[in-house]
Amino acid sequence: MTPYYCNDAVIQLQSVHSLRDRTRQCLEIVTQDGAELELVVERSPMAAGATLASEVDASIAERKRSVRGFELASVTSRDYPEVSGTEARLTYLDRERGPVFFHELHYEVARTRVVYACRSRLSDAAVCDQWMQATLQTLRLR
Amino acid sequence: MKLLAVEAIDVRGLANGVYSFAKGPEEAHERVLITGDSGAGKTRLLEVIVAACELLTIHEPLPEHASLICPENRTSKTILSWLLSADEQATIAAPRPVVTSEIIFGASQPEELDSRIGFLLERYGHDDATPKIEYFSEQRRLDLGGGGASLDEDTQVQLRATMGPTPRKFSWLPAFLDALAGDSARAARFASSLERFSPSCAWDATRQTLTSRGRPLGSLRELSASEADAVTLSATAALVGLSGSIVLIDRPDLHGLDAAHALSGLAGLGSGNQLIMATSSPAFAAGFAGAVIALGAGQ
Repeated sequence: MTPYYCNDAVIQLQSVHSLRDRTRQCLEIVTQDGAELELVVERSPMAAGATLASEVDASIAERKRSVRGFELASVTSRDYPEVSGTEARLTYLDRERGPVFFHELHYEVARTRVVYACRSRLSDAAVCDQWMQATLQTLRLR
Repeated sequence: MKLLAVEAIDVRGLANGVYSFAKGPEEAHERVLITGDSGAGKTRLLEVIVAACELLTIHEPLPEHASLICPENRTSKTILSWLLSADEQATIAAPRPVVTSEIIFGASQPEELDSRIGFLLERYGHDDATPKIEYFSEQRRLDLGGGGASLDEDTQVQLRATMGPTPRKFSWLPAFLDALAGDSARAARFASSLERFSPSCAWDATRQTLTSRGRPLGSLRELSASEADAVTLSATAALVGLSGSIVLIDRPDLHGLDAAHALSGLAGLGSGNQLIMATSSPAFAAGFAGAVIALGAGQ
């Protein structure tokens, strides 16, 4: 197990009137059995009146119309020890990588949608899926 | 080549869904009528097909394709399902006769398109042996303003299926009529087609002129609106050779052609064509033998 802390420093933002946190972190990982994974953690403020479900739907719809070979395998509600959200599994044809698989969990924190999205080659979908489920079991809010 | 289905995903002015022209898994309707009230998306469905073909052949987006994208989105998509003839299947070494093309409008980078279908669409010849995509838009009209387009293949290939307005599309017609004197086979085909379209207008091969109710015409300006439409449709088929093609016609009734003559005329444009028509005229839908796609609320 390799712990990863998202925040390794702190700064004091001066004279803030408003703040939109669009932090995006990207981890490139090679598992011990050789699968290449890319885990992206991304935050986006939710629009007024939007729900997590509507934001997830919009996110999926955007990809459905803008990427090739889009296939939505599943969208389900999912509870992990510390977060509950919407889990989606999907595939499409990436321009550079070819067929890719995504396992992603969307959840809401203080009107911000947080997404943990893990991508692999389609051939490594099972590895990616298992890795992501195990990883999300370890997710602890700070 | 025929179209089995068009799927629209967030195309502006068209409800999401699959618009099927299929009789069976590997069989397409040869006559398709798209109906619906004004604003239901009839023209838009034809335009999506035309724009997709433009992208597949030109390989770069055109300004008018932006109108297919909803203002709140950056892209829209269509998926076309093609049914290939045995010859077309062999030409591109397709394992099955059904091939799909996924086309994204508004993509930020040049689209990776299905070059196999693009190859088939790019083939062109002034003959019936080369299938084409022909679009008779609602903007069609006989252009007598001068500066007529050439009859040659290089010019005509650019006029076939384009989404944007093409004022020159039929500007070659006076030259076409002049050339009929030296091409009896083309003249006969034009006359035969015109006879099916129009109860009043005919080609007089002896005098080498158009007639209206038996009266020779001194000028194309003497044609009625429906006669002019019949002439443009007939002349197009006779010039470029429309057989085994996909022919898209927006409002066949546009210039007053009645349903019986329009359907007879369109059927006579060539053999083995797939006719995809859009109209809100109830007269066309009444007794129509083919697939009817009714657009509207709850489509």
